[in-house]
Amino acid sequence: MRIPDHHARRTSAASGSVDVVAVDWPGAPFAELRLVLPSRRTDARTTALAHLTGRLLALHPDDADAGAATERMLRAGGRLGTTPLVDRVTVAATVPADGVVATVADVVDRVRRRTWRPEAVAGLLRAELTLQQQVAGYREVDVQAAVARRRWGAEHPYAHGVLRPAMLADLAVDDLVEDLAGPAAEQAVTLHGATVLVVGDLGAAGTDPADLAARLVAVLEQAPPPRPLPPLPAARPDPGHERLPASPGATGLLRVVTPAPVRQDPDHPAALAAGMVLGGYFGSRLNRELRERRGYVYGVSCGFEVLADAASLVLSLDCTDDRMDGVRSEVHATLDDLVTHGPTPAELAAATAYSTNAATVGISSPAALASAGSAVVLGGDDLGMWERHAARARALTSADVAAVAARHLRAEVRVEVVSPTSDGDR
Amino acid sequence: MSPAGAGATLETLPNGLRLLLAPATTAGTTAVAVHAGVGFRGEPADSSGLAHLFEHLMFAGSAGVEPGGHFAAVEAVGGAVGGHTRHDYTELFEVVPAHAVDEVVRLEVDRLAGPRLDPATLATQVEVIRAEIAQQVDGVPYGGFPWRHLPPAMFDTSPHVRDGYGDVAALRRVGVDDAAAFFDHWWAPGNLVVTVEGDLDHLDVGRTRELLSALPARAVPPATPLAEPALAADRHLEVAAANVPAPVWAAGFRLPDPALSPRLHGACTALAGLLPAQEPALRVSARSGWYGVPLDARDPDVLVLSTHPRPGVDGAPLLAAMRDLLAAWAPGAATPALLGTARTRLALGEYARGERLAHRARRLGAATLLLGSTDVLASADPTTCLDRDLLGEAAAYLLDQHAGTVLVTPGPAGSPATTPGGDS
Repeated sequence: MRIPDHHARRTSAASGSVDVVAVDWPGAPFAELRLVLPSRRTDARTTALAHLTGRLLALHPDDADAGAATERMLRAGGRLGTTPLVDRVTVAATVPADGVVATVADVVDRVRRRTWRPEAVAGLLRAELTLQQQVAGYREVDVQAAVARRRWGAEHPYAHGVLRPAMLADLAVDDLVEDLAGPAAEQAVTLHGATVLVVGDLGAAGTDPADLAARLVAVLEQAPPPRPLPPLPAARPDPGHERLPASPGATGLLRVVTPAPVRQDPDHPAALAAGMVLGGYFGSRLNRELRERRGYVYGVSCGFEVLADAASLVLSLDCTDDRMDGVRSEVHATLDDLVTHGPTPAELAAATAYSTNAATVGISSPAALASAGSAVVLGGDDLGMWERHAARARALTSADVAAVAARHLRAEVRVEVVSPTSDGDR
Repeated sequence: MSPAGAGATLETLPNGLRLLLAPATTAGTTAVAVHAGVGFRGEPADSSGLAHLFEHLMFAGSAGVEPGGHFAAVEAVGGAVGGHTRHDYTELFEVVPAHAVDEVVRLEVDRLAGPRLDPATLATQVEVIRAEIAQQVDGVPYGGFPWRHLPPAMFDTSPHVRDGYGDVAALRRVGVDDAAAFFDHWWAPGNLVVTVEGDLDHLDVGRTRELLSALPARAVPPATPLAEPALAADRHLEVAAANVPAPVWAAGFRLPDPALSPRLHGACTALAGLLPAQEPALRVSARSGWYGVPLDARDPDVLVLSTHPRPGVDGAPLLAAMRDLLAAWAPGAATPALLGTARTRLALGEYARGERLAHRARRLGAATLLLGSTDVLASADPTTCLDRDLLGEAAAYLLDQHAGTVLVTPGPAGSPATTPGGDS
């Protein structure tokens, strides 16, 4: 694995301890910038505020609408988009390398001011309402909400990942403009603890990683300190099986989720290996059995969902109702076997080889490295994490994986949600 | 940015197989892509879906690779694997750390010599395809739009109106002999392009050439005739689909043949990149090529405009609105302000497409197979086709033809409320 030349800095505690990483990627046609802002949702109102703030960060205070914002960025030679998630807002920009500092300064200013033209707010609110009304009928939305509720507990901030149309429908634009600039929005999206990561041809822009990182730190330290998010309450998982009401569709959905160790936890590499052996790649047990041998599913996916302060192991598959019981039995039997016996040495070796080498492929472009790297840094790690994890993974034994699986994947901690396409007798 | 094919070398081996080597600066990865000159427009009419079934079978074992072994071998080095069946080709590809490229070449040669074909594997892969259709198309909101619904509005002949997946019941009747005959006919070395792209420092070029040359030469099948007269009038269809939460509509126009008019094709692709931003309130999406990738099919290929209409609005006024958008670019019209940022907009769009797995290898291989050269990727590059007069010519080309449209509305699956209509 080749992590290109890079340099990491952190702003002062008084400036919010923002992590800044600059990576030199000679030949990159654009610089990829990721500014990841911690976000907190505590109820319907803050969910809406966090989401809308995240969306509006793509707009300059003077922009009349999203189209004007796009044109503004194109005139500067790039583009900028934002993605609000349950624990963060990611600002992703693709810009000329010599435009990175100005772009960061611009976005930081937007985060601090949180003021936008009323017509821009009104336009975005209309667009979001339309979008959320369109996706409200997607069965995946209800599955995701049910999984989150049982994984975290109904009142937990991480259970507020789904934005419902009702959260937006009654918002008045004037009140919203005021709320966006107020303390509730400041507590919903913050620069405190944020991550800025840039990957680009820095030499072509007359800079280098250390110089660029220093200039970005200077930008971030210029303004008043941001407020930290309130402490995250403990999760209150509610393990067990939940069958959602039938929802017409071509296939039923199955999700099995367990609390999982975060990247810094000593159990993380073994849990990652267990997930890989279970369903993390084509060569995994469930893909070989359910897809290649039985032809019951198009594919099984299994991987970590890593949030700012916690993680889950998520197994997902789609299959028809008539096969769901058999598939569920196979999934749980496979999990039970992993908990009891662990993987075979050959399985472990294959899964480890895949997961450690796949990181090389997974970060083989500036954009991919920027996205993956910024998430890693936000989670409290650095770009050397992949190499460290690879070394630890290579030292794992089957017994190590079984022990970790017994702690994190046993039946008592599993959350299972099934969304069938028709009502049956179950 | 340099042209997509810059630095690439193409050679034809004695058995007719074309080998394309395309070095590039990467983070230590290499892509290998195989393109076979058979897609769902070329498969037998009574076995629609066979080309796609074969894509699956190519991963299900070969003489020296156990079933599942291809995935296992590539994944053992952390590689990623993919395959697609498109209108006129089937592609298989891998991206691996550069040190593993020779092993991938060996795997490719093994399956190109002949996949394992047995009744159990055929039956299992047909079931996987059934699950794929359910999960990836029928089970996804708007899945299959527009490529599943629009072709019957634009074309009449069999090759053009297939959806690629075919009829699962018919696929269940495909026997080992049928599959073997299909492979012998279509997967002949002379109908293949193998592309190795990226970090080639670890590639044993001589050994690669030797292994690929050892595949026995077979007769190269003639390309399936695709010519069909243009529509004599606009044609509007309506269909119902269970996986459409709200009405959605698309119009299809024919693109100019890139082999004959690459720059006009590039200008049409440029318009596809610009029209959605022209009137944001119309919420228009546009794509050059059925899957949004230009130069991805032989002629005739399509430019598709789509939007979510208000309930009750049908095809004719929607098509008129699309023509109004195009008319803003026609000769004599004022230059749209969008042209000022068009080059950056289009360059960013292509840059984003470059994030697709093995994107450059796949584009190079497909262009070589479909158009005989990678040169067209540069000559039809939309960022170089932004001359105002050329864009006017492209708008006129699209305005001068009749279009097919389809309105897809929510409804029970399999209730095609087709109401052909027409106006000129």
